[in-house]
Amino acid sequence: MHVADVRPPALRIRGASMRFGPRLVLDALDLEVEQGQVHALLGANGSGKSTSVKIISGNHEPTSIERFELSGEQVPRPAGVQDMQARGLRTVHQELGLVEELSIAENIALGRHYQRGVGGRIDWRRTRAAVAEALELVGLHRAPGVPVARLAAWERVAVVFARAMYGGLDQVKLLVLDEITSALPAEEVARVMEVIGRVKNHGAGVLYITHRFEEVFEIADMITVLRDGKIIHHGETSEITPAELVELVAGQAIEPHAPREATRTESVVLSIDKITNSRLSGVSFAVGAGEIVGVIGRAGCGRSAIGRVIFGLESIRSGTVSVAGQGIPAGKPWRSLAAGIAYVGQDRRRAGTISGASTEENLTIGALSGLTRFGWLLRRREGELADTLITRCNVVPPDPRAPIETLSGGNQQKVVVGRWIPREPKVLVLDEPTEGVDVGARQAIYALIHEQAAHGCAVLVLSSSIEELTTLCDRVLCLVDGEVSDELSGGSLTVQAIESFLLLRVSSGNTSAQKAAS
Amino acid sequence: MNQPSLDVPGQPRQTGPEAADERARLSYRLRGGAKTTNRWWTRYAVVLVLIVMAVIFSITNSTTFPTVANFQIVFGSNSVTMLLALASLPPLISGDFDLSVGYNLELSAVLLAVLTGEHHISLGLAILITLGLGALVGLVNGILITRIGISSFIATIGVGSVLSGISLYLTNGNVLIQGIPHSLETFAQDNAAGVPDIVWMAAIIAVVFWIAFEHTPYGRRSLAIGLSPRSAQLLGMRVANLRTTAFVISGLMSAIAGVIELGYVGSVSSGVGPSFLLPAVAAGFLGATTIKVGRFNVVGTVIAVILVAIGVSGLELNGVPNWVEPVFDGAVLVIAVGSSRLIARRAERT
Repeated sequence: MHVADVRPPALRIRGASMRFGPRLVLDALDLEVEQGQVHALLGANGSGKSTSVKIISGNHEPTSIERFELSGEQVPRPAGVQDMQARGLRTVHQELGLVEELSIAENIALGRHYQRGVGGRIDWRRTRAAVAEALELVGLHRAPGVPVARLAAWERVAVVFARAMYGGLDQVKLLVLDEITSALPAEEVARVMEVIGRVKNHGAGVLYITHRFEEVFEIADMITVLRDGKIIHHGETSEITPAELVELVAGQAIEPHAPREATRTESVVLSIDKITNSRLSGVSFAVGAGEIVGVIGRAGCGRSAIGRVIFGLESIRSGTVSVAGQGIPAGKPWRSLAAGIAYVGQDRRRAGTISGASTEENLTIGALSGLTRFGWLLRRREGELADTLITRCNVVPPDPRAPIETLSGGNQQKVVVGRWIPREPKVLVLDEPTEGVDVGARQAIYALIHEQAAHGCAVLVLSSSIEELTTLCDRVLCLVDGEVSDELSGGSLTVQAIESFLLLRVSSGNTSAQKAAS
Repeated sequence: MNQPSLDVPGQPRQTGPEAADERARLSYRLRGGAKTTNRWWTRYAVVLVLIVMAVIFSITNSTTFPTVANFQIVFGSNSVTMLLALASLPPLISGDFDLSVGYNLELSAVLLAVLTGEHHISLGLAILITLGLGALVGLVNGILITRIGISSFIATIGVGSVLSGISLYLTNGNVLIQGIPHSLETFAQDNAAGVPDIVWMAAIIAVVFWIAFEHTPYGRRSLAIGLSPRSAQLLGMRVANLRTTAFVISGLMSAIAGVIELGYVGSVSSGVGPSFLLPAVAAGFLGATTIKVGRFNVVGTVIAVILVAIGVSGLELNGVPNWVEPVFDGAVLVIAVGSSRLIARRAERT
């Protein structure tokens, strides 16, 4: 029998190694997650984080492992995914796996089990009651019958947590959260943090994987940092500063970004005039050659819509988009493209890369017309272009044949940005360019953006990251309810200024409150 | 316990291009595609099966199988299938099905027979009308699918059914054999340099397809649309137009196949379409398991048609009853696609 106050750790791993062919991806990993604690597992892309998660969740069988215990109980090997679930492991990925059209209750019961009534039919009353109980645990005050499609992003995360808790909290020993916030705007992340706090208070151990260091300092009790499959740091969160942590993860000191020389010129390249549609109400602004302009605002402010309108992906009711004085017809991406606009969308996984194609094919797809002779695509010139771009964007691995899915998120994003370089765009619009991207890749992407601006490109960055906007941009436009309400530049462009805008300006407006209610 | 080790704060590992890498890049460029799915033995397994089969039949049926006459028959009689397989390919590449190709072929053959046999329109004009109608059917398919948003599966099966009804109306259930122009039959049944005319024709069209779909920006864009339609849109491609174009090409090619079918057989009746559909679409899928593994590709499709043709011919020469043919067709398709799936899954794991 255990002594009452010596609770076994939720997870204990000793000497876990994983070898893929000649590559040692994970080298004798030791990891302990205490009950009721949040343990952050950090590392750059390719450091062995994902492999660790896959071993814990039962997806990968490690090449060797000395001990593997959940809540003090030895896990038999090989452990399958189902087996680990039965033993009290719950994994939540960024792809939440919710069915939009179904209700909260249906989504939760689908993954687990429905409460059954006479003859095996679903007893909806009891199912709803059990679901309501799980929702209470995570602090989501929504009726179980509400369709998931109507929920905000953080509420969806809460639903997935509730799904993990459904059927009894005592059955959940360890919750693995794998980059769940990387696609969320900053303001929603705070709500997710609250939910995690609640889960942890119920006594489960939480293994937290993320690229956002602010979250780590907000929520984690312990930190483990991996590099090249080895643990290079382990300790309590209070023992380390953010700067030290960044350096550990990136493997080198990241120089604080030099404030850009204002390259603002007289010539306006991109100009937006009174654009109105379902999400925007009279947005007007201009971006000059060589200028980097950011747009920020709370979720639902229409930030992404601006980018989609400029590239012709969304229709408008009135207003004009023009490049170098030339009006561009709305709703026709190919016309926007021909006018010199390049666009990098937000959802890289589903809509950025061409999955099933190689790195080379992804890099050259935007510039094929320039690689032909009499209509024949010249493979040699295509290859040269791909090699050049791989070097310039520092894509790792530097292998044009690598299927694009095998690249890390950061490197995929380098490709998605880099493929526009040969077109020499006049306007570059980026929506959340470094979402879910590690520190090193983020710097590489910033360098690419700066380079484009230096060549006279007008750059528009739509982002929810305050830090990104202050380091990258010459000017930042603050958006409220589809309207530009404020502009920050020069000395007034600070983290504090943006934060106070987000907090004060938005919550005081009556219109925004009305919209949120509807 | 856990050591906060003082690892050398090294730079991110640079795996520079080495000699072996360079060689691999070159070979990649010659064949295209992404590397994990393109090991040589997976790329050429189907070709190997084809060669082994041909060798076996040449031994077991040494007097009947490896003869010029037999090859003229085998290739000639499969030219229509080849044309129809090529017809179904463009929509497959850009991510859609065209299940109307068989019915389109049938209606084209029927229409040509009616125009020339009953209405005595000159062959040239009749062919022009037939091809125009075929392309129009493709355009209708494309509009239904890209502008209205019906799934290609449903739209083309529906359109196909309508086409088969029209064929039935035009033939009134009879076999059309009267007044089919001799010049068409001569062309479809003659040889040039020992090879049937229609084989030459199918070969030339296959080369045109190979260039268009694998060596031009147009082909690469179609492929991108098939792989990731949303990415293609974000790249500023005219996705709807390119998909519609694929259906127009498909319709036109089906009509060409119908014209050749009429000339080769010398008669047509309603109901021939469906028997061409499965072998044609199957050839596309079987072709995707070879040459450029995991992608619909022209060379693979051609090889697939030849594989099935040789297999069936060899079996028939060995006195295997005719019900074996569809069984062989289906089995080859399922086995080839199934094994390539398994190989791909294993490649993912390592």
